[in-house]
Amino acid sequence: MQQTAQTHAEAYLKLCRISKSFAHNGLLLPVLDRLDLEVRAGELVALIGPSGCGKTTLLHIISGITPYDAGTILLNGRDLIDPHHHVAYMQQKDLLLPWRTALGNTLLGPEIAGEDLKRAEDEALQLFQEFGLAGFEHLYPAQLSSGMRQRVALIRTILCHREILLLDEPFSALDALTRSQLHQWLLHAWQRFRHTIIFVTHDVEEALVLADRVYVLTERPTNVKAIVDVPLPRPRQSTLPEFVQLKATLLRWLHVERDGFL
Amino acid sequence: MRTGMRASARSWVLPGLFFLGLLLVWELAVRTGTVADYLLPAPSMIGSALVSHRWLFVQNAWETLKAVALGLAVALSAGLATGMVLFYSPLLERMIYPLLIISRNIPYYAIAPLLVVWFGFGLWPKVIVTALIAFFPIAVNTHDGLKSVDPDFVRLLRALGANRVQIFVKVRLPGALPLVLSGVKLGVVFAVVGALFGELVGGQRWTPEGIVGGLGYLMREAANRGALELAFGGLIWLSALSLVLFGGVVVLERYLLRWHVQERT
Ligand SMILES: Nc1ncnc2c1ncn2[C@@H]1O[C@H](COP(=O)(O)OP(=O)(O)OP(=O)(O)O)[C@@H](O)[C@H]1O
Ligand SMILES: [Mg+2]
Repeated sequence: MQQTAQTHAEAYLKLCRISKSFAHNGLLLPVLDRLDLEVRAGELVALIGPSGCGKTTLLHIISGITPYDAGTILLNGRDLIDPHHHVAYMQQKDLLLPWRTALGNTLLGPEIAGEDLKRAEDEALQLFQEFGLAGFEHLYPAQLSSGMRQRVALIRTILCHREILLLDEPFSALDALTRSQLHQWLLHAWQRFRHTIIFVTHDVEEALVLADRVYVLTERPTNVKAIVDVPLPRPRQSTLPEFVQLKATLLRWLHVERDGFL
Repeated sequence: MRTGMRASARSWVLPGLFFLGLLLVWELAVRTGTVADYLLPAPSMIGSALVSHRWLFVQNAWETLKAVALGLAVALSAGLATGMVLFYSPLLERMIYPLLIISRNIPYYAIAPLLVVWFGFGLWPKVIVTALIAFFPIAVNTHDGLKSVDPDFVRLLRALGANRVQIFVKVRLPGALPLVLSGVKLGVVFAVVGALFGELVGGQRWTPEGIVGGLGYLMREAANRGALELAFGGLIWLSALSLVLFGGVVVLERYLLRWHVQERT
């Protein structure tokens, strides 16, 4: 699938000058400082930045879990007032309810929304099949490996039927092999469901395997340091010269940040 | 599963043999006159009393069971309600929870004689003692169980657009269940002891067939009249009652917490 940066396309989700501070023992800790972010419909954007810079906070803000101090969030040019109708958020922890089976966990979204459960279940079973989880539908989370649990959490997120998926380091706790397998599954699901995805990661290579564009964030108070287009066809080989070159670019941006010059 | 059951059956062979050995020694000690049988009846005497007076035992066990069941029903509804109210109301929690923790250590058995003064003999004083002492572990554990639920689960549900009722039913209740059930197990054990205390100080009821006062009352009267084999019989019935009730809750727990059991293995 050929994916090139469409510089003139309309922004679908647009964050304008978002600021957020937390109170810490009476002191104000500025986390996000007038941050701008634009994501196009059906785009997969990766966020990468130093630990503690506010990536999770940013996803919390978009999903409506955390209020923000200033700025606007627009969806299709209108204020995003009911985020949970548009956004599904998958945290770093899989957060599977231990008392529900794998299948029961994935049906949580449709249950809460009061959707037709029979149809949701058929859809879930189909996804279990596609994600290599056939036969594990009725096991409890404690009986699954961490890679399987992560896949179940991903299916749950997809079954929320929202246009936008926020994925917060979903695969960071997994081994390299499982992870690259999950990348393929994610890309597969993304191409099928045409989600708009914001993907937080610490891993430069992961960002380049997945994303259309990569946002590099600064240290706190956080802003955008650089936006890097990834105009490579998928599936992407991390050994290709273009890939290696992009990786060097990203690392340079990150290191410029860490070493503190510029 | 199969092998597990066989292994656990095998692990009961040794304790069973030991117990039979004890009974045998006991029997011999009484038969040979080493111990006087009016102080300690032989197992065979207790056994024959259990058979010949079976209706007496059944009638009194039923009486005790009624007190336990009613008391538990009251303790369960009041305990669950109190635990939930304290969880959802921070003000009441701060006001009452510390008192709850302190007062659960009060020996409520001791008020049984007072209850006889206030309420007379009969079923209700027993039910009150039973309910009172079974209430505390259930109330405290319900509150603690609700508190123990991972707030991230709650946040997840909120982000999915769940309302308070959905959050309670899908996350808080199942998350609290392990602690609630261990509170109920304690409550059941306490309830039997509570009913026993109620019966030891009062609790008899006059019926056309005679006085029915439950197993505790039966044991007291039997001991007073030197019919120790009946007192022992009452003890056996009481233990059986307690074990069956406890076992019932354990079976329920196994079923409700099957995810939890599997997590432990
Ligand atoms: N609820 C909160 N109250 C106070 N401070 C907070 C809160 N949430 C986050 N912070 C602070 O905001 C900053 C950013 O946190 P955040 O979790 O968003 O970082 P992050 O970029 O996701 O880090 P990581 O890469 O390690 O996951 C941190 O300094 C953190 O201490
Ligand atoms: Mg984070």
